[in-house]
Amino acid sequence: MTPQLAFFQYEVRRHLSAFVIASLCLLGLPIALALKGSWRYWEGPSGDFLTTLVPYLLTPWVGGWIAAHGWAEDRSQKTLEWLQTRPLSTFQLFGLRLLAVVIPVAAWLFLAYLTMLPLLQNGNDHRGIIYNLALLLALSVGFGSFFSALLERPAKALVFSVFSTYCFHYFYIAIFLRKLSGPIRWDLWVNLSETSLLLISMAVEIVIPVGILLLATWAAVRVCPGDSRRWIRGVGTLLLGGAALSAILVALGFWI
Amino acid sequence: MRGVSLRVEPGEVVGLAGPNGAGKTTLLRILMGFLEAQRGSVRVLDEDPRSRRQLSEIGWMPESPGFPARLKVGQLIEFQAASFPKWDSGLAAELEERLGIARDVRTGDLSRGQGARLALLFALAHRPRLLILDDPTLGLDPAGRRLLLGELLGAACDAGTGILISTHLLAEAEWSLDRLVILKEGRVVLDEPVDSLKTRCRKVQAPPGTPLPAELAPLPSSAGDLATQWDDDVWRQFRVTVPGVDAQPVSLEDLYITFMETS
Repeated sequence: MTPQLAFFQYEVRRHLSAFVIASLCLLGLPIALALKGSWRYWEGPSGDFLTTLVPYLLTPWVGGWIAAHGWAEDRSQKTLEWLQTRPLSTFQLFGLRLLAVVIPVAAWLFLAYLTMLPLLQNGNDHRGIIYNLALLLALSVGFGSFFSALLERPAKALVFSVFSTYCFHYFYIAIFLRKLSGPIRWDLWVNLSETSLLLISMAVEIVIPVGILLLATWAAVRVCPGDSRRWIRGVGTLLLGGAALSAILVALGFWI
Repeated sequence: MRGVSLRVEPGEVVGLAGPNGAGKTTLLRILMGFLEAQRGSVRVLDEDPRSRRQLSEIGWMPESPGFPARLKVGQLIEFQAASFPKWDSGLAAELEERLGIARDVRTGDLSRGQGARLALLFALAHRPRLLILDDPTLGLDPAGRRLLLGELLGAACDAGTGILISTHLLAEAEWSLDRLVILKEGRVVLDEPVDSLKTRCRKVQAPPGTPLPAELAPLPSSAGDLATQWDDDVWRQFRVTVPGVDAQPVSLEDLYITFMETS
């Protein structure tokens, strides 16, 4: 076994319990639906969206939980230095750790998709919902990794991650659709699935922030993840990336 | 850290001593690449520690080793073995037996001493060229300390491993050290082979109020007067002049206390 594979296995094993618990949480959806005898939790004007509320509410927690364990957990358990003594490059450590986060998160997304499959079989078009679920998950992984790279405790990293994910996602969408002055429309998601251009632009505009978050994470842990100057490196990169993204958006003039 | 420069030769044991907060752990963590030096350059085995290229050749034992509590010792050993290409399974098995390491225990259930023994196994089993030990005797029982400072370090030295060991227990480490480096407030105040120190320094017992000859470069301290430049002729003449004086070989602990009080 290579050192890379050994480290990857170690990291995947770290997330196993979180993955199992998060997957069990998904069981709540079909159980509730079976008990209710309907594929909708609540009847309402946007019932289709409400059906997917459970995965939606779970998503930032799942992505954040899995990603927030990592550097923060290593710091709290004092295993950071022990792991850092492995003869692997910083890039390999970072990449393998990220891959070990992405795999269970992607697997969970697939399970979440399966729980929502009956909706699709009913002829409803829920591509937008699945798509948004993936984007929300990516955002939570980005925030989870970022806060894990900075903070000392995984619980703190998780809380910050979930809070940031919700705030960023909803306010970003609100800004994006120039809804700052009014309330966010909850039936927005249904409409989104009908506009592929909107979906693509949403992907770009969430994938780029996630990219910036991962870049900031990389900057924080690139040299010495235990060093207190990781804050300057991480937050500095995030601010620079955020400023660049804002400049691009302003230049594009909200082109949708 | 200011102007710290030190060199560890293959097969040499260098002791790093200094008061709490002197910068010993900081220095060792910079050498391992866990911390970044703000200025100056650091080279370990001809590499910048931040490059991590030299890590397969370094054994590291921290002051307070931490291991993932959910794993068993056996799983951890397997992970460690897979991580280091030069891992010597035979040596690891021998160390497991000598250090009394049980494989089926969860690392979360290990005592501090057992954790230290496991960290020692991890530091030694890939036959490193350089061994960096940060207060390794902390948590070890007397038998463990004797095993580490006597046999294990001796065997590593014989294999050509350079050893840098930070310790407060100079009395116990004294017979293992080839060179002593004392840090104070981030600076090196002493860096000298132990043999040279023992030759030039003696502890002198003289009647109170009797000044030692200036040729002996005396340093008064709470550990007793210390002659830091030994001269047999001067000493003989002094003994004739002042009856009842006596000189003893100095221990590293007394040397340390004197240098701390006077530097």
